[in-house]
Amino acid sequence: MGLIDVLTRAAGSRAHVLVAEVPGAFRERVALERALDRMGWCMAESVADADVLAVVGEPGEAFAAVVEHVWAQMSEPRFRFHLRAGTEAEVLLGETREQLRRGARGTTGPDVRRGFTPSAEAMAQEHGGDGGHGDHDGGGGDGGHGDHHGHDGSGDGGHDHSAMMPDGIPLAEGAEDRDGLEMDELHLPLGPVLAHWPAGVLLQVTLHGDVVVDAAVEQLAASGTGLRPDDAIVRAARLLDAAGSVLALAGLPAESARARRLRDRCLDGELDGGREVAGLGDRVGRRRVLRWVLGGLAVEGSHSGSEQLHDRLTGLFERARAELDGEAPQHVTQGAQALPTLVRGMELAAVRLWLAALMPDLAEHELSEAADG
Amino acid sequence: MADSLSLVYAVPVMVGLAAVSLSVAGVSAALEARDRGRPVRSGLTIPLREMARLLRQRPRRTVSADRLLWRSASSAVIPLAVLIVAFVPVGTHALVDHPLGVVWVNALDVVAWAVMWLLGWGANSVTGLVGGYRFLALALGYELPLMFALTAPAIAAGSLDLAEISAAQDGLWFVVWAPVAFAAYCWGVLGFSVRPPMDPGAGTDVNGGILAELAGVDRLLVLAGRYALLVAGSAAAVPLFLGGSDGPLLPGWTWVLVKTIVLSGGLVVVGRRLPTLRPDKLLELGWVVVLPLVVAQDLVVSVIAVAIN
Repeated sequence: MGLIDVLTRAAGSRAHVLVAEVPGAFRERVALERALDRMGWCMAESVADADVLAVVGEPGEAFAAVVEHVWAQMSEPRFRFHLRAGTEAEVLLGETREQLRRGARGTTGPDVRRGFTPSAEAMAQEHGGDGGHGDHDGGGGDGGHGDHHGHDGSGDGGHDHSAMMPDGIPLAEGAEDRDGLEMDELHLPLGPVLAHWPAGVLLQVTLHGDVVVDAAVEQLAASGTGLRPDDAIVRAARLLDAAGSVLALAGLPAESARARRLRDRCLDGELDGGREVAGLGDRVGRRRVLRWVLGGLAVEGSHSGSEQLHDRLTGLFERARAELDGEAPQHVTQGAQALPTLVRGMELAAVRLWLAALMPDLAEHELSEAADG
Repeated sequence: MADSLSLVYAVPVMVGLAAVSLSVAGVSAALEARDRGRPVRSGLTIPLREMARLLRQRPRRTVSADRLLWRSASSAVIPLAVLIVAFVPVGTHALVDHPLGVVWVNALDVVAWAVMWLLGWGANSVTGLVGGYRFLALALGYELPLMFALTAPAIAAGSLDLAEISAAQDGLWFVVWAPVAFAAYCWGVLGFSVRPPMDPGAGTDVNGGILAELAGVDRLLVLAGRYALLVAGSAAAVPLFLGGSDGPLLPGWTWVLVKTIVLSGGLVVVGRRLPTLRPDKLLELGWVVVLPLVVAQDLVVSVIAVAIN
């Protein structure tokens, strides 16, 4: 057996899976995550990190286009599968593992190494032009300073690039930031194929450094209108899932895994009341370092004035407990339309954390809309 | 001052660095497997499987990437770690024995600034740049405390030579009378190796930041390099704070190895327990709390050093 074979076999026993969750496919996504854990695989944190693309649910047209776009950016060897309601995640993963073990031969598709043909507007947004960035951390001691680079994107020597469009990407345009300094404006689409992110939400943000100055939201729906309102168990599971996501983004993998295990047991109907959920919520709430690190990440303008992320996180556990104990659920539905105002002025990382915390509310809003329509 | 080792010893030193880095990565993966309710043993082989996976994956290129700087940065991480280890005395000798060893170690950890930032810059992607700048903001927070922490053992031993500092701790390790400097040093090691909780530049919350666009061998070099930097930083702490090759029964070099393994493993375990420190919080902590504490520590060490002499 040659070295290549040994490598291929070893590589086949580990893969990173990028999950594209279509709205309404929460249960399928959870099933996939559990199957990944059992196989010793893990979720990919970015497109570059992924070997396998898993589409979960029935994507509508716009969502399917995004999936193709993501697929085009993945490095070979790459594989994809489609998990629909009623298919076993484990079977699909097993097939993918066989393909991985057989090796990369026979895969087709554009050669990622040569980059993409940069023409579409989407590409420009993807890579945000040739940006100079200014560092901007609210509350940091270094103040705001913007540096503006006019770098012509060479490196591909010999090509004739237009001065304003190196490699077909328009240069970032300058604008005044919140301190009146000139900053490059960068456009970055967030979601919908992103871990710990609400299903189907595409947030186009405009950044000064890493601060969001403007945002627009789009909801990429599933095909068909088969969304059913959730029962208490699924609502509780969604809340625990969101708590697990916030904890993962905050850099606490152990606590995140615990919240996810509770979510899984909740969906299996193994949780008797909300005692265990309340216990984990208390433990997380008592972590002073976490409270300190998340401190200052607040949103304005929700119904009770400004709200701290840490309170929202412990609130997720509390609401899950209430659902499991059969108390009247607090409906805090949040339409995606409110997101642009919500994220304006936040850092990129804060946007990720908040969107994860809002996952159940966004989902519930969508479900109730579907029920009305 | 002891003599430099012959270059032949570069091989065992590099093999040792690789082996310890792999084991530390294994510990980290095993802890993660345990968190996910999987057998701990299954995690131990994950670094090897990840290596195979990344060796097979094609490297990736982004539009208008600054390839020269990007590739140089991803290939520089491991050499950086090797250079730091080269200054660490193993037994009575170091690979490079230099009267200014402490200054060299410090200079090399500052090179990490450039390397990590270029990783973010080179990819020409928004999240990469955000990650790069987050790393720089974090570096502002940890670097000054780290520099002052490095002066504590130098003052106590009255030398900038790592071998002499190591020898000066006969019986009483500097970690005992300079615990704050030791803690600040470890904090800095986590910082320049971009390990949790000092990894906002490569955090999930910025889609991987400086790692966001890396795939294949490039990614492997950086991921392995981060562990190697952690191990190299821990190895440098051994002569600085942990008595160097001092220890009963076993030969000196084994004690250096054992202390390096224990410290780097400990840093991984502790790091996983703490949430990612956001740069603004970290600057606050670094400059308002840690820096004054470390300066006070230097003062205490100086007073003791003067009193003893």
